[in-house]
Amino acid sequence: MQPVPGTPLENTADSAKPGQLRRIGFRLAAILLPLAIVFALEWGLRLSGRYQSTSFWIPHGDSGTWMPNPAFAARFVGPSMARMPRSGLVQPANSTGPDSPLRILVFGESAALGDPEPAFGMPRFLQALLEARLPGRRVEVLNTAVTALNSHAIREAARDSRDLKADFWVLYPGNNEVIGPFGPASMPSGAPPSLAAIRFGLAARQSALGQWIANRQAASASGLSLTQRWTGLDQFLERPIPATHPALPAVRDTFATNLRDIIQYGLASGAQVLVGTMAVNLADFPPLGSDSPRDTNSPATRSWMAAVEAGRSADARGDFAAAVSAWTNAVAQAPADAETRYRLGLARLNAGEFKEARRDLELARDLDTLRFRADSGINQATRDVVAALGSPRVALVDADRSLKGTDPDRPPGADLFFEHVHLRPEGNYELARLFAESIVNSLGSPAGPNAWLSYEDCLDRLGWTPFAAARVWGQIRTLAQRPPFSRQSHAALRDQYVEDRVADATRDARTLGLTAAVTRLKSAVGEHPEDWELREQLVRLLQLGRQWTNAVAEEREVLRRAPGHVVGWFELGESLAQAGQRDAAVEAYQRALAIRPDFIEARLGLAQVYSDSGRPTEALATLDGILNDAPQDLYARVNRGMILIGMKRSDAGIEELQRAARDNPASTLPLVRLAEVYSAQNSHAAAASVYAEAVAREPANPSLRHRMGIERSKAGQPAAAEAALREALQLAPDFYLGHLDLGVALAQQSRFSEAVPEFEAAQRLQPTNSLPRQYLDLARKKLQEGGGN
Amino acid sequence: MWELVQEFARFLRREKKWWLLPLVAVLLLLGAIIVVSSSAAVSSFLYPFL
Repeated sequence: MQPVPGTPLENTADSAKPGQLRRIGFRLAAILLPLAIVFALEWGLRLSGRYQSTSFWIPHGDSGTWMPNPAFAARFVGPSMARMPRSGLVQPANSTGPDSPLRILVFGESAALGDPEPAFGMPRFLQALLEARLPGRRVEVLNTAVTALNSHAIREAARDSRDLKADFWVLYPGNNEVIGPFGPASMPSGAPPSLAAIRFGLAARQSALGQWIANRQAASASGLSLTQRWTGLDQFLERPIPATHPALPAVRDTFATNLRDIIQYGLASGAQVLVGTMAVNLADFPPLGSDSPRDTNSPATRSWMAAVEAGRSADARGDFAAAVSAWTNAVAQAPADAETRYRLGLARLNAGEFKEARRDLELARDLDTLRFRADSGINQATRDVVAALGSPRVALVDADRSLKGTDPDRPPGADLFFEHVHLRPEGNYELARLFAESIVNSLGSPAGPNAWLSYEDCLDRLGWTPFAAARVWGQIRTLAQRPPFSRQSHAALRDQYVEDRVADATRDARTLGLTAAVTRLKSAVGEHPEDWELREQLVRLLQLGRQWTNAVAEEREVLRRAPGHVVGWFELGESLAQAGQRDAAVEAYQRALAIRPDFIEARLGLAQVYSDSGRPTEALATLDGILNDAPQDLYARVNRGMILIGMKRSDAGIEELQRAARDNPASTLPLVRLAEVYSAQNSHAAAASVYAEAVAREPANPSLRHRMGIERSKAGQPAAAEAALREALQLAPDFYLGHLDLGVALAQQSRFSEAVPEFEAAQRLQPTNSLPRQYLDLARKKLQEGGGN
Repeated sequence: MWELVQEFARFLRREKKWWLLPLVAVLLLLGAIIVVSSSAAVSSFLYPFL
């Protein structure tokens, strides 16, 4: 039956159509709208510049070359804690044919990078060794290692490096599996996420939305700095990971999975893969954390303490057999205590029981609760992965067992390592030899022991000078003064050793002389003009010699080959500023900040150049940027104060200096600047008072006492001035200005007979300076005239 | 957790509200990103950047 037009049935059908359409529209919107919102958020963030490429290699402009991505590490540790890769420009695909270079990619962490001075890291020695061993072939060693990352990051870098078609991949990872990204020590809960969650998180951070969410939650630091400002080590002190920690088996499994993937990527790219186990300092590095018995009231603990005391006593007597016995007894009572096990290992070394000593020292490393060194589990995982793959194109380089120092019986120690894992140049040479021998064997041209470039020749090739040695050992000295290193049981002995190395390097630098060092470096650069890391060593020497124009020219050459080298742009800015080329300096600093906006020294330098160029407003804005990220930054606060004073806003400037002094109670810099301001205002009593505060902070500084004396003298306090100047001279008997100004202070009190020997001392210290002579003549004349006493 | 998922599936089937699925999936995805990103790692570097 057909419905009759106008009946209720037809009306129902007609009215259902709009409702149905609405329902379909609603459902379509419900399906599409969430996706559209996510899509819009993603592209909104990208278009507003909140997206960074996560690839390890990124194109360098239109040049057809690639450079390492400065933002690569941000995905793993957040943007403010991310360190950067160091490679220069590379051609995407290795060319083939007789002229093709032998391309080697090195993957790893700070030990592979070459911290504390990557220009003398293992990859650099590998370059030098292979160049000399394969004279007819161009060798290109590319260092992709990044400090503070681990196998999760290396896996991503490896995947992105397949298209480089390297001949060899050298893998040297494993030290950061516990303390690095997603390791149990770096997670507040102590429990690392599952591998699936880690990989999902890393994949999510390839999107702008994921990066935005991750960056908002990332731990923050004050910014990239050329000085050791970061105090993150303290966080690890609070999170010890004992050998029995339930997360460790999973850490090793995850490492093995990542390592397997990395090797497979290498094989897929056509490379031969050399996989290193991690050599660490066993002999001269006491554990950073120990799981020691704590209940001093329990008989068991007291018995252990007595055994420890007996061991120490035997060590002190040089009775090594008794020491081994005592420490064996102590270990039996506290088998989980890393320090006790380490002491047993040392005692056995001293007793000549090298094999047993090594076993104990390895156990001590494994028991260390601050797991900054790859343990035996990680190294075994590496061996197992290589063995399981069973590929002729994968070779194990067992550095853990093969790396030898000056005494082949002794496990690796201070002769190879600066501290726990970072190798001295001597160690990097030995490690590079292990990899180089494996590479040359694979190439079918095995070398005899004398076929290799010597260590000394490698140093010359790489531009090592005593000036570099002094710089590096100075960094080690700074590091050793901080926890946990300062708390190690051998701290006093180690500190003396480091002091001796600093003294040796300083003396050698003085003997060689800067001019000779520059000549040596120029010659090396002439032989290897494309080696930007070598050229950078020359730049450092030129800066040391204040040859700013030459430094600028050389730094530009460095940056032509390594345009992503953020420190290079900063150093160029510094040299340009010193050379008086302020506009160019601003541009160089801005190039550095375009790569790393949180680079503190570049921002400080930029602010200084703005200030020197009569642009105080821009200088203040730049410093405000630093203080916004790091409100207690000493230099930014002090410089801000000085700029305000230069703008005739003295009260605001003084307030800033006072705040800097409060925020940095160990520093004398803000007090010195404040005193200088007071002195310039002729407020000498106030200046003297501020210097007194500075002296209280740094009592052994003769210069501060001298300045205090001068201000007291100007404030009409001659007795107090004399006291301060005498204190300065007690601290530094050969202090020229101290003698001169003490003489003046005495002469002002008409005590000419006492002033004369001070002027004589000043004259002796600076015989070419006419001022002490004039004062001396005047004082003697006064005495002859019968004035004073 | 599994019971919650099952109950939600029953609800979708009974009420024929399959259109809710994309919304829930997107919310779950964003939630998962927030959770995996919140595992903020600390980092250890001993030496200044050179």
